[in-house]
Amino acid sequence: MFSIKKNLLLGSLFICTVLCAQEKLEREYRIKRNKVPKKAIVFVKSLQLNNKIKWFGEESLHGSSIEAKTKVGKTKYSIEFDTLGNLQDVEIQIAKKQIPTRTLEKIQEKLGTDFTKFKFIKIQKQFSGKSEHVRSCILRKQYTEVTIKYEIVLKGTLQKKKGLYEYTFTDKGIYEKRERIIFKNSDNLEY
Amino acid sequence: MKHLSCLLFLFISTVICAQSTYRAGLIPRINLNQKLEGGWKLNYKAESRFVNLEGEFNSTSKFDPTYTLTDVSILASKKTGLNNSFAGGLLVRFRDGGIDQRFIQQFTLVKRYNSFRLSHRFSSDQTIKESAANTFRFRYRLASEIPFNGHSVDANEFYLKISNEYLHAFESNEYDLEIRIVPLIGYVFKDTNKIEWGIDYRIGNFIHNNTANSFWLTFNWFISI
Repeated sequence: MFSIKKNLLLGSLFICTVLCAQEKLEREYRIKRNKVPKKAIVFVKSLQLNNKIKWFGEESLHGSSIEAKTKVGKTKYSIEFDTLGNLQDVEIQIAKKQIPTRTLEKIQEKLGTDFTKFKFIKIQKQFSGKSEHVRSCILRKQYTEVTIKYEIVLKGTLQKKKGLYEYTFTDKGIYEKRERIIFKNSDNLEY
Repeated sequence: MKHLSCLLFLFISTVICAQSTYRAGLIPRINLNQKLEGGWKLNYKAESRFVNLEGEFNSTSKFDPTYTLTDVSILASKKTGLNNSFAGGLLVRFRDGGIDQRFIQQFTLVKRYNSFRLSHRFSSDQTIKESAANTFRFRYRLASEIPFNGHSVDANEFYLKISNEYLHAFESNEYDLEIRIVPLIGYVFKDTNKIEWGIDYRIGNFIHNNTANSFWLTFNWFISI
């Protein structure tokens, strides 16, 4: 009897660990253009974004990467590379109405099961694949041969507890992963 | 925002150039924050004030380093939302004229933007003085934290913190307005250990044509446990 209880407890703990969101911990710092791999600079130039590009180094639990950030009109672009300059993905910030209806319904259905209340803070459409296909996608809106995902930062409430989360969904609205965003200490701003 | 800063700077310059007094000194401050269960937090703060210079503009000043006072406070705060909290507590001031007690209530909202953080702090305090009239104040402070590198302040990085505070004080049916501008440089050893230093400029009593300026060299240490 004791061992069944023990197994049940261990089982619950395991399930809880799996279900609980990973924490999103990132460190970002500005880097000079001359420290960026040429491959990455060439790719960003080929996107013809024609605005000032800011380069950042990023360290997270998943490893290190290099990111180019720019804004064209009201649209924010974020282009991520590995440390050798190989393209990882391009993210474009979009509004909720730009998510296809069926996809949005599936996303909201999933979020409705995870939270009693939620609010979208930021939505990014992510394109990944071979660099020439991603380039065509950005320049000519040709969406073949690229993988599209939606990365959503939202405020979620569950059992009166509020938190900030980042969700990733496929282009069909199928849930992939969730990370909890940890706020940095703000004591120096409060007191 | 730029126009507002220019106007504020011009206003303060005009007021300073008029007949007014000043004090300059040092305020070292330590802040210890203890996280508790259920969104509660305790803030313990101790600060002292040392006046080094005082006098009137356009006349000789007196250099006389003097210890003036020590404030010790404890505040309990509760998170009321994702970005906001409510706090209340007590400050005890030890000075030559006796011991004063101050009851504090504050509401703080911290917002995270793309490349900086902004906090709005609304507070009120009631000071019971041993040998003077009681003072009642209503305060609003806007503070921004701007990283020197990247979009957020990480460990082993510097940042700029600028705050602007307005204090409306009522004492013996008299009203006064004090404005504070505090530009500081900060350094994060780690998220739970930070220091800041800079100038805390205060201007008060100008509505009574007897402007009092204070320039405090400030040193803050924030520790979270």
